[in-house]
Amino acid sequence: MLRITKVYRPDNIDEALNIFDDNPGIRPIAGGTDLIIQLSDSLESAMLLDVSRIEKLKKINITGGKLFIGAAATHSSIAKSRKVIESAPLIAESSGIMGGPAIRNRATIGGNVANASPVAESLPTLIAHAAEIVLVSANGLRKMPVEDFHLAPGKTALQSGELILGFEIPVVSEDFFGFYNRLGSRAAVTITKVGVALASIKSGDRLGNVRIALSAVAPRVIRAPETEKIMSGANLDDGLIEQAAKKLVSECTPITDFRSTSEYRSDMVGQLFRMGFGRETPQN
Amino acid sequence: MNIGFTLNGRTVRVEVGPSERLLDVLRERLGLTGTKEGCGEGECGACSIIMNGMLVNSCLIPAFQADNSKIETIEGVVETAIGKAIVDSFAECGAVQCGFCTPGFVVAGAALFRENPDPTEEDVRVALSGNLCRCTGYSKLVEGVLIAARKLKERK
Repeated sequence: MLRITKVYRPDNIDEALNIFDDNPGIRPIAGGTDLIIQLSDSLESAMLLDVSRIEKLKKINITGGKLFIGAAATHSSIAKSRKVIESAPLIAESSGIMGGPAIRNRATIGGNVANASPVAESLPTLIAHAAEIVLVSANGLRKMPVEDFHLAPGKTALQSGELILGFEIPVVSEDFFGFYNRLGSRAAVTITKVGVALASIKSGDRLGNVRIALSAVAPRVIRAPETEKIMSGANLDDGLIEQAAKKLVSECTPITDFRSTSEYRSDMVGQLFRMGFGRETPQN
Repeated sequence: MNIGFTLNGRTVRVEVGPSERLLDVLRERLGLTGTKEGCGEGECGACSIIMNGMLVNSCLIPAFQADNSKIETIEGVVETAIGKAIVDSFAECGAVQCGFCTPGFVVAGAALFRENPDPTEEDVRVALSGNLCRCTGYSKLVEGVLIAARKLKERK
């Protein structure tokens, strides 16, 4: 049962920050698709700071070679945005497949990141795209790479009194190559068992600036630095893809839980990676 | 908290508590029991309504967020040409068995037609992907929505 004691609905950031200062422990809510479920399962009461009326938090725009996506932008608005599709295609893709249509119409990218699940749909693609999270508090703005923000399941680097303003993502160049492949127990409204996101710059048969992010194979969404090193600048042939797929598996520490086994997750990390390069089976 | 919104074309005002869900306000306070509660976690779509033109799960929306919004429930949707076409097509191709999920599917189909009056089968499958039915096996529901789309197109 929900036990909400008090609700504030500010129209702008300054007002929201003031409410934050006056009400320690207050929980920000936007779409509520995760929070309402969590609060319903909890015995504790909560105060809510509804940020869904703050227009600035819903903005999607491009300034100075960077795409900005406001924290309260919904997944459906992100998936449909021409700016996101062209500037950060993997982020549009992950927003377009998370949950079902009704969830995407409410759930926000800021909420997905704040919830800090190792299976969060937006985290691998934000990290692959080298996104920075922009945080705002009474002390001003603070930025950090998204991969440094997600600390552990349910834990982030968000400090008390801080609100997620949004995300800054470098606009991709024309020679961008990347993919986001994820696996769940069914195609829609599913929780990811394994997710592999890769972003890079392709020139001829070589990839540069390779960034790989993996979900659901460690306590948090992780990078794969060894695999990135193997791939960067090397000739992209079957041998390299196979060598990289094996290295990628070795960089994961998946667990067995009710969604899947660690063996299956390990195998699928390699497989989703191969599929990103159009290979369906291990190449020998 | 006193909130006001447009409900199926009529303006309503209602006093809600901070813990009330929109689903409960619609069903218990306003008597619109066509919207169902299935899972209560946004997995099944039985509580689907259209809020500000968009399909949403009313079980996950705190009622205070409905303030100043435009809400359409199954009771309003079935009065529209789109809603009637979907209901008739569902009856025609046997897309209804126990009926519990049906209002959600009709609302999801209507939300699809607003955005895309000429959907492909894939579009329909994506549009209905947030709704669960444990009786029909989905084929007839997908077919029903496609038939409704064809009927609406022919009428134009």
